[in-house]
Amino acid sequence: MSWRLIIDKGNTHWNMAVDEAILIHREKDLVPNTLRIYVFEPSGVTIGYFQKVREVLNLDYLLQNKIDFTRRITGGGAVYHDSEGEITYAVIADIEDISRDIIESYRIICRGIIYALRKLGLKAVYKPVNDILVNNKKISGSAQTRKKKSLLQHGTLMYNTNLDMLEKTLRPPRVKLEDHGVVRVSDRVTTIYRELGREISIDDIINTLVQGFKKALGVDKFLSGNLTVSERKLAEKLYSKYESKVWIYMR
Amino acid sequence: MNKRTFIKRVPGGKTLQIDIDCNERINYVLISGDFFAYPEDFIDKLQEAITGKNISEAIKTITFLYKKMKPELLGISIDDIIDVLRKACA
Repeated sequence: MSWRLIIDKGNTHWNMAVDEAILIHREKDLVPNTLRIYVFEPSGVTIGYFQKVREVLNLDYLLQNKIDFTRRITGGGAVYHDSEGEITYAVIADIEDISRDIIESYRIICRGIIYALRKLGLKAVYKPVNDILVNNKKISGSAQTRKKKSLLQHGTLMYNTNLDMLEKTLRPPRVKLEDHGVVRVSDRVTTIYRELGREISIDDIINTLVQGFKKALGVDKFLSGNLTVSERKLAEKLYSKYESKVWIYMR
Repeated sequence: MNKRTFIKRVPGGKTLQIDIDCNERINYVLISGDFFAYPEDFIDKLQEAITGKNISEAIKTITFLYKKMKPELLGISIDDIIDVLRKACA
């Protein structure tokens, strides 16, 4: 089966609007299964659908430094998307093409990132339900939502995330830190550069990631594409939701 | 309003937080955390459905809604939600 491949970038609100717009179009069978690989420009923060903004974000810091943040339609935790250190992926597909079983579908999609990390020389392991670890530290996190027929799973791959910024923007709950047995955020997350001890080009990482997903998802061919006019229009409409206070401060 | 916060870190799972104002009845409840729920609106509907109810009615309502909507929860379980609510309203 051939999939559409979209590689692009955008700000925080736009990126979330695009993922949702593709999902809605996939649900109506208007577009093919899609792998989107994108960058947050400028850097931004997203929180899980069920998270309380004030509980998980350093709002003072974000507002003072004019860093965008929004709520995702997917559950899970808060993420700092570093424009110069993190690549985000989104898999939008028919559920039947991945797996009806939710945990199994997380595993299948995460395998794409694991293949890529291993190709880059890192021993990556899947930690159910939505994390990928290298040397026992998180290097990638994912979150999935489903409609009746299709799913959207998006997630991160940190290659050179500024861990100080990550720590400044996010407020991890105390209980979580105690459970992980360490105190600082930067002690429990890592990056490709840090683990490899050297830098590699972003293009190389993206190419490796595409190959990883090709293998994991059984894709015959990726066809480079763009959003359809209809997807773009819907994303423009959804953009206002993602920047609205009603949506962001829902919890 | 006498809002209090209860947090449960589910072993090997996610964080569940319940902000609640509960005397004889649940006047206010907000369920939050880094868990996953399919469908997501199960949590919103649950919150709505138990507001105004006493704890035993609330638990019955949750059980009913859970059977009706058949949600899949990842990182927390329905028993974690009930457990925290029971403690909060004790």
